[in-house]
Parts: sequence; C-alpha cells; structure tokens
Amino acid sequence: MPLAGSRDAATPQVRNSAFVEQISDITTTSTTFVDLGNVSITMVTAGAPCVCFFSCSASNATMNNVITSFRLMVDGVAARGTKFTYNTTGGGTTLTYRTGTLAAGSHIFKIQWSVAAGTGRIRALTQIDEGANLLVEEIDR
Amino acid sequence: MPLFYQESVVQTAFAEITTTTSTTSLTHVDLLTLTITTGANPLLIYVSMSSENSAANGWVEAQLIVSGVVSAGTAYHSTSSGFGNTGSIVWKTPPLTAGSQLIRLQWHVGALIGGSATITPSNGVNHATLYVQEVTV
Repeated sequence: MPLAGSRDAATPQVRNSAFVEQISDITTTSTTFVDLGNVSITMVTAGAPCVCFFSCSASNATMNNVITSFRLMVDGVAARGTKFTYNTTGGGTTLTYRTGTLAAGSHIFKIQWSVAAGTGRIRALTQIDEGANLLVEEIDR
Repeated sequence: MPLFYQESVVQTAFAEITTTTSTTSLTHVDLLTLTITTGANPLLIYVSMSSENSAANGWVEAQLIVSGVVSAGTAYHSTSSGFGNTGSIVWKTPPLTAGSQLIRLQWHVGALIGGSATITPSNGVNHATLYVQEVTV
C-alpha cells in the first residue's frame, strides 16, 4: 500500500510548472515578431512534454481594425501562433499548446508579438483589463 | 492513520491542426477529434483556436461535443477580408460513464456572410488545439 503522499509511478503527473506575467506597460510598432516584454520562461525539464497556456489582452493606441499576432517560441523555434483584430478598445486571444517530448535539460519558452500597423500596447501595469501571461507545465506524458 | 495520495490528473491527450485547413461550410463539420478511454471521471477540456476569414465581417462558430453531447461553443469574426481572430473554450464535464469518449471540435463559417475560414499553423500564424485532462476531482 502506498504511504501518505506517495504516488503511483504509472500515473501521469505535473512534474513542474512555471508562470510569468507581463509586469509593466509595453508597446510595439514592429511589423515583425519581437519578444513580448518579460514573458519568457526558462525551465529545466526531466525529458517530457510541456503544456503551454498563453493568454493576452491588448489594444492599439493609434489605429482601429488592426491585426496583432503572437507566437509561442520553444527553444527558438516557432511552435504555434495566434492573432486577433482589435482597435483602441482592445481585444484578447489565447493559445494552448503541448510540445512533443523535450530532451532533459534547460528549455526556453517565450512569446513574441507584432502588429500590422499602429502601436500595439499591453498596459499590464495601469489597465486591469490588459495583460499577458504564460503558464508552462511539464507533464509525464 | 495513513492517508493516501489522491491523484487528480489521470491522463492527458492532445490534438492540433498541423496543416493548413479551411472551411466554407455553413453547418458544423469536424475540425479536431480525439478519442480517450476514461474511468468514471470528469474531463477538463481546453480549446484554443484562431483563423482568418476571406470575407469582411465573416465569422466562425465552433462547438465542442463530448461523447455526443454538445457542450460549449465559441464564435469570433474578422472585421476585414483576411483578418484573423480567435476563440477559446474551457470546459469541465460531469463524471462520465467509464469507457471510450469521443471529443469533437466542430466549426463553420457564419451563413450571413459566408467566406472561407483558414487556419495556417505553420510558422506561428494561427492554430487550433484541443487539450484534454481526465481528472478525479
């Protein structure tokens, strides 16, 4: 019989998790992907898949009806992306992604963003309804 | 008196669109399907998707079906031709009857405007993913 707190090794578990949120107001006018503020996680994994949950709410400071794009980078490679069209009043998007089995060691998960025009902004510090966050969980399988 | 660890996640499953996928259907058609054999437990389901529509003000409707039960939906529209937008669903089922569960994400374009909705997963343009956790609590 298992002792208190023990686990069945055959049962998948969340081995490790990390969370980061954008902590300051940021803007971009870049039409090519650039790093989104501090939304980056470095995690040392034991050799398993990772599940990534990204959510974001943003607005455009200068233009209406503008596409803004986001993508998840895993160790420098674009995994999947998402985009939405918003105006000065803002909009939001999400991205859920599970990687394949990653080699044991250090891995970097980061979000990049770009705008089609105007000035994209995430007022994470001064607007409660804007922000960007990334949760990464390493799972057994 | 010893207490035993209560497992919360029994298993996980994941499906995603990996090649460019489009629809002009005005009624729901399958976008992603996933089969998972479970105990008599609930499922936590995460749907995330984004796409572009060829028609200005065209929209996409999507619905989640769990073992034949339409469970939840999402919708979004593209303000201009070729513009993208995004939808998501977080859902928890009641405890299911143990056995094989078929989970389907379906989508279609809105009948009023029509157009063609396209998901281009390469190079981080947009995506559709379905992530399922069987949980005990």
